[in-house]
Amino acid sequence: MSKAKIELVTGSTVSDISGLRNRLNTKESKTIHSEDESDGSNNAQEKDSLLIQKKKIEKKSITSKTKLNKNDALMFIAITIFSIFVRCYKISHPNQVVFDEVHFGKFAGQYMNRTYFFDLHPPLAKLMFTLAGKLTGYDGIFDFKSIGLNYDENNVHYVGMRMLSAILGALVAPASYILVRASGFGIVAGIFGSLVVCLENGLITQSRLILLDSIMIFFTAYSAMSYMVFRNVTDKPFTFSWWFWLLSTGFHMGCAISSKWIALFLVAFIGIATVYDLWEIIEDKDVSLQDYMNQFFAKALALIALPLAIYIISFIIHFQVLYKIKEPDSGFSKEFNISFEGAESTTTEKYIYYGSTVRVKHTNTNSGYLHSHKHNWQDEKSSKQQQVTIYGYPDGNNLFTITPAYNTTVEGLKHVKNGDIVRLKHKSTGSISGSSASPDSKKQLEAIYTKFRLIHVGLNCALYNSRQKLPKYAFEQTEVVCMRDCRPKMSTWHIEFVENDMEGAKSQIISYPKLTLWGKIMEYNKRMIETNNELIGDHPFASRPQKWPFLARGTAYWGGAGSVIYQLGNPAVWWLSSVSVIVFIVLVGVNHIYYKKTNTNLVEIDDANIFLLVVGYLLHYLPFFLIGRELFLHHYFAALWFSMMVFVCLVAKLVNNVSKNKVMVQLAVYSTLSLLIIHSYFTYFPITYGTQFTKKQCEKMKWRKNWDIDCSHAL
Amino acid sequence: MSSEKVRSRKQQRYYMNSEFNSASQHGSDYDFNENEKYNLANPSNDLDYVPAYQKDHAVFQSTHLNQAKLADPTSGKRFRFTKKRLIVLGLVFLMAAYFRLWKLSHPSKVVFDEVHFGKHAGLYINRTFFLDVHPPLAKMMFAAAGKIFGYDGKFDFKTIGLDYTSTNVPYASMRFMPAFLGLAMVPITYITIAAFGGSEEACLLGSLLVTFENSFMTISRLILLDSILIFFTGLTVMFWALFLREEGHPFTKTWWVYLILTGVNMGNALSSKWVGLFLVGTIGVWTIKDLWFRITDYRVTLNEVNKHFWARVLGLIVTPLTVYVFWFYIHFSVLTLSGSGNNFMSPEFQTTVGGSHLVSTMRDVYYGSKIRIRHDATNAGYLHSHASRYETGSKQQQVTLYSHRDDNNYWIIDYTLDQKKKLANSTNLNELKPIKNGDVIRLKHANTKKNLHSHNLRAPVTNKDYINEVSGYGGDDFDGDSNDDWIVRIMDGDNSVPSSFNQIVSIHSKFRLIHKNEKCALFSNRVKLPKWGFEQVEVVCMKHAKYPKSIWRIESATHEKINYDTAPKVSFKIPGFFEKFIESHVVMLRVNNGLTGSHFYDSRPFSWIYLRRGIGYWSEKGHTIYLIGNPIIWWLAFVSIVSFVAIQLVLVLRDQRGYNDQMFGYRAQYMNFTGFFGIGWAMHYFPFFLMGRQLFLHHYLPALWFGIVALASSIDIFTRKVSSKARTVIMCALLFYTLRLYFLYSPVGYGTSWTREACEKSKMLSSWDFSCKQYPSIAEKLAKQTFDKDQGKKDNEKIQEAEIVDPGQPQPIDNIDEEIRLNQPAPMINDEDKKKLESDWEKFKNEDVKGSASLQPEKKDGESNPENKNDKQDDKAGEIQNKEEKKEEQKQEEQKKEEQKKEEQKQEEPKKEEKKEEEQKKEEQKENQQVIDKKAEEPKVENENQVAKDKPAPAEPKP
Repeated sequence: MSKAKIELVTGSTVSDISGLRNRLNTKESKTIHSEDESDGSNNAQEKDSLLIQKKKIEKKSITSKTKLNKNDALMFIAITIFSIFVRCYKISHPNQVVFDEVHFGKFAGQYMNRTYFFDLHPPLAKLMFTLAGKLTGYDGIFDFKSIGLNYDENNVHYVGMRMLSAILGALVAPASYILVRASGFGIVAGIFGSLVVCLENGLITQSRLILLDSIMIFFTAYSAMSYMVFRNVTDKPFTFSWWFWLLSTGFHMGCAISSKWIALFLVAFIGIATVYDLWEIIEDKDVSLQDYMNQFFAKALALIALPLAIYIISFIIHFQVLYKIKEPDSGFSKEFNISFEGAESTTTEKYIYYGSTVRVKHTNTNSGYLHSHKHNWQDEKSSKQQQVTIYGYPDGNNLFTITPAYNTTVEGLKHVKNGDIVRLKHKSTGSISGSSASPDSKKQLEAIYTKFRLIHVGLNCALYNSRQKLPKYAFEQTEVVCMRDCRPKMSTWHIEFVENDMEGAKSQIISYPKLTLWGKIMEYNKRMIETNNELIGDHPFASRPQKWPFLARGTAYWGGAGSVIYQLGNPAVWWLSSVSVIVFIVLVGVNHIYYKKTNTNLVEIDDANIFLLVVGYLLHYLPFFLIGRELFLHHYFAALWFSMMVFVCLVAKLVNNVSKNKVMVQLAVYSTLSLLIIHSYFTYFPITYGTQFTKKQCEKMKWRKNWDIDCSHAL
Repeated sequence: MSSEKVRSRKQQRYYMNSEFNSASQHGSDYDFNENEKYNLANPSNDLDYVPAYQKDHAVFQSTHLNQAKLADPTSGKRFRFTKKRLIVLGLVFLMAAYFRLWKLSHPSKVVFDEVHFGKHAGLYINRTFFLDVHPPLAKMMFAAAGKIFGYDGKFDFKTIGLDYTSTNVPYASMRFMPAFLGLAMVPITYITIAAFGGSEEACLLGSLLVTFENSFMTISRLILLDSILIFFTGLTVMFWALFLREEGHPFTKTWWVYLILTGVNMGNALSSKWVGLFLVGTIGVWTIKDLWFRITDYRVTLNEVNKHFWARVLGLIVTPLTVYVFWFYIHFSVLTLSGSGNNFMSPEFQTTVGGSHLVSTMRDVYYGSKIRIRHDATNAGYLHSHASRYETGSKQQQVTLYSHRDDNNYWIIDYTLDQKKKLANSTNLNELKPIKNGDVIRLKHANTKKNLHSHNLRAPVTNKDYINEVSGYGGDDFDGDSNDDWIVRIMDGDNSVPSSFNQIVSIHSKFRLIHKNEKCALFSNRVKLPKWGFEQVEVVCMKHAKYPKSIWRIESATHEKINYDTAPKVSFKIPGFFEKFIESHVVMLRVNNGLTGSHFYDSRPFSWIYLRRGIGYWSEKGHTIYLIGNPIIWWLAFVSIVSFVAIQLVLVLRDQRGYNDQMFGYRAQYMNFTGFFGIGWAMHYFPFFLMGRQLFLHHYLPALWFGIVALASSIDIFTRKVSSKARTVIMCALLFYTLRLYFLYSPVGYGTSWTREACEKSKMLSSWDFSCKQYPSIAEKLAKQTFDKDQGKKDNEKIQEAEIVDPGQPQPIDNIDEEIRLNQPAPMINDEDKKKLESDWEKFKNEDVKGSASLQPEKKDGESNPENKNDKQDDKAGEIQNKEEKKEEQKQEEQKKEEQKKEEQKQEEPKKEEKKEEEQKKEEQKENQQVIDKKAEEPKVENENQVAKDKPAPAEPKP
């Protein structure tokens, strides 16, 4: 009995690990059912034995488990070569800066010059471009300043960087082949899958230019593919291939997320799939808690720790490469800025006495220094007193002298302490802002290190940075107000600069502490989040997610004499993929109901792998509805790739189901679809590769009204 | 891990589920009348798994064969009150009525959002059109209440704190309406719990918890929408519960009545506030679940499923929608006069609310026509220009959108230079020529004679590469250039005037203006210009512009060569009800999403669950109304939800492993009863996380009600296995504690008087920011006495330090830790607070003045400055204050004489500059007083400038 059970466990197949139950045929289930009823109790033993018998019968008939072999390797190579040819055809063609090459080309240059820059994407993909550029002779001098600059005139070796993007983009096609094979379908289906990916015009456009998405999709595809293969070996935990595919999943996931944050959806996908697989294992009473925990931690290691490590390593490389800074980045803290070579560090005396001249900086923002100047408030409601603002740059008007409050006198040198009532006297105008200092530390005030609030004694309000821009009469500096019971974050200050010209003042010079590497990474990531959220614009080619699945509009990339590059997908692929996702969901739903009602299947549609791919698609698509920032068509490409895989697998599944005379039907279906896709590919060939085309061709391309390909460029 | 195992186990679970689902079909098991006792006596009733699905079969047969089922006396007992229950409920209701209606007229002032909803009631009575982000029902109910009790709509509820007593606003009667609906929640809760099969004790507990929930009490006593929303939410759930009880007799009369009533009240909730959508979600989830089980149940025929499906579509989709639309219909038929809302709407809409000036205009537009152009998508106004220049970019004349009609909105259609040259040869320059689709035209501003112009310069506010500035260029003396040429592209027309599709026709033709050279389209996106642009809306020229926001239409046209009266006319179509309905929703949604500003008391959803902070509604000397919940209810309600989720997780995990726990037979009921309210809670809570707009604590109240019922049901189910004595003790203990806290926080709920000590003591979380300082206290005097004593003992230095501690305050206010703890909450400075601070400051100051009095002449600065009249007034005020405080001073002086001498000695030493500083300090103090005192808000010239004269001039601030 136990032997049989083990067999049962190890013999689990692709189709039944998953979320969709592999249905028994009617007769069998009815017998079980009737037995249950007649028996009236759960006789587990009897049932188990019954199941095992059934299992043994079924095991012979199952063929869907895939073992990749030599043929697959050959196919892999063949597809790669073909795909690279498709991607790299005339790759040097627009010898001008196209679209976002402005940014990513420039960043590569800055990596080479090793000067610091800020970008809202993680560094890996950009580092890869840098490496490719370096190897192929780009020297980092050209600065990619604006779209349309000519590479040849400036003697730029740009093809290498484009080749990187193209080759990685091309490698997605063989990955698709493996994925389809690993999902339990035949070689023909695999080839069809790779063809679909290979001839997708949108992906081609994307991967022929220096853009990050191609690299991100490459990693996404390999991660998803590895997981699919991994699911074929879940029954042999801790073997070499088990470890290999698991680690491969994690590795590519880490790379993807270090290229673009959109890959977070991939993390969600792999995460959900893993949790589901772990959930299914709970059911198996032969897996002891110990085994279970081992598997759990192995997966945590490969799918959480490894990607995280890769992400961090990419940032470590980023900061190792970029060690110089040209100008301090006002978006970052002082500590961050001075950790780069070439930044001026501010030095100051350490101790603050009554009579010290200080420059007070707002701590948690980079708005700047407490400032005043000889101009009065001008609003009708205001007091017409002298303005006090926050000003971003150190100058003479930022200096204040700390004096004791009116009812206290100070003899000689006295440290300013927590709880003291002080006044800040503006150095150059002599005006006074009455305040009481309440430093956070219980000790005396120290420059830079002590963070404090200034609480007004009379009104019990704290000096607060409201982050509002003042009107023009106040030189558009930042507003400072006094707010009761405000949050500490915006009302915390520190002293950046102290000057003691009194006698006997101890002068110990200090400066900002440099940030550690970890500190830099944290601050950089924080800023990335902020910048991402701030991306609310009105770009003419920005689009919302509901427009993507049916390709409502493309994106104009470049226009030249007689040719344009307009990113538009291969409509045939695009539409068929979207439709097949819907068809699959509907079929599964209907089939489920049908099964519940009649205990037989309407269509043999339940396939765990397709289901997983649909989940992947939805996870890469639906979250965009929640994202408020500006979105573009290219954000859909990862989801598109999943939908293409659904399409291919669904076709393969249906073809397998429908026909008895498989070969003929397969041939007919695949060749029809392939011809359709190839036709559509060649129709949009000119705008994908930027080759010359005629007005007539252009008008023919407008299958939908909204596709605003600029025909005025055509010949 | 075999598929068979999976399947069979899942099938088991499926049977269990269908058993859960049909639990109420059994009826008999959960009928509270007899079965409660039965359940307690025979807990094993539901224990056995196997009989359960045999029973299921029986139930199936009964659902399948309607007649057999009807004949079956045990299948599904109707919900009926026993006499005892009625009496109990009656008593609870009377008690609740006392607590809810007590002192209803108390703050005879406008409180919090009464500002809005009172005003809206007035607008309904005046029938003037307004725009609000909430649907109309609740507001109309207030209007009705006001109308009935004699509110004439004249009082405008302008600001918080206005006094009702001098007006004849029947505010107490208007408040009675929400208070009564809030009160109705008590029996609603009772019946809901009973209908879900809760025990008698649970019904009582639930209704008492609702009675003694401070936040429900506070919010229902004011003219606010939330009480009405909660009422309709509760009513919907009650009818839904009663409907679920009828599941055993589908399609009977009672079944239909409850289904339709559920739908009607759902519609009402939705028409009170959009938060009602979450209620739709709650009922929807349950309905889908129910239908899914029916669909997947092979014993239910397709025909039956169909019937159930369409019945629910009718009851839960069609009915609420009808109700919702109906209230809007009433809304539009009441508001027929032009009002503040007009400008938000399209001209078509405005014609129905008193916008008669828009009625008709000349139909045809020719070269030379004088036209007014309206931006179609945003209703932001008309294409406008005026003789002011941009301060950025080209510095040419401004072109904006302006929402009001004035002379600067008129433009004249003109030929381009090329056309003029061509036409100059032939003589037909004066011939009337219509504007065709694709024509190239110029638009000349009628008043300033500048041409509408664009060029490759960035716009003043929207600084993007693909957006060009639009300006006025050229003029009478200068012909302009080719950048003044625009191509007309007609995008849409109207079928009533067929020519409007290929030639410009007023009102009907919707067109884009494409700049000929830059290929950009005239565009606007509701972006405001800065002050120099008079805060009008920016107009730009955008390449590849988006479709709707680049569409314009002509609202009025005249031509000097055509007699206006005889020319053919067109007018705006009068929109039907549904067009108005849709348009007002588009605008409401936009305004709702635009509510992103920050309010002093707004909060994020996460802080609601543990009641981090309330909302200050109103405050006056010694009285405050502060929305705060009853913490014990609040926290336990959340705990009951969390424990439900935790228990379900454990159960599911154990199911997966093959165990089959039944929770002493109460698993099904726990899932169906507590589960429903858990889902209700989640549906009313989590969606708020997705909302970007500002949120308040009162948004949580509907979820809280679900939580309270979940709490009552959890206690009910968990205590069924213990003895009835212990059960009573547990419930009584909870009730006792609830009551205690209710009365503890009732002063801030009702706005009655309190003492400071009690207030300070009552705060369970330091973040609750109702201000205790405003309540009278004896502690203050005591604190002062001890302070004086201490002072006598201390030596000089120590006194100096002691002075830093604010002497009048029982607690040190400038303690940073205290500050951080209290940070976010921020009571508005009310009168009481202000006076307190003032007097503290006064005392503080006087001690200082005494110290330096002998050194300098007082108030010299004020007199020496002839420009400053205010200063003198202030001085007088200061003197009066000083007189009052002199008495106090005299007392203190004796004690302080010695100290003063020492201080004087010290202060003689400092140099002259320090004296000046002393003067300044005094001025500072006066200023501070001014700031404190709102009456003295008038501007005042600084005296400090005099002192500052001899110092070096400040460097120019960098721009």
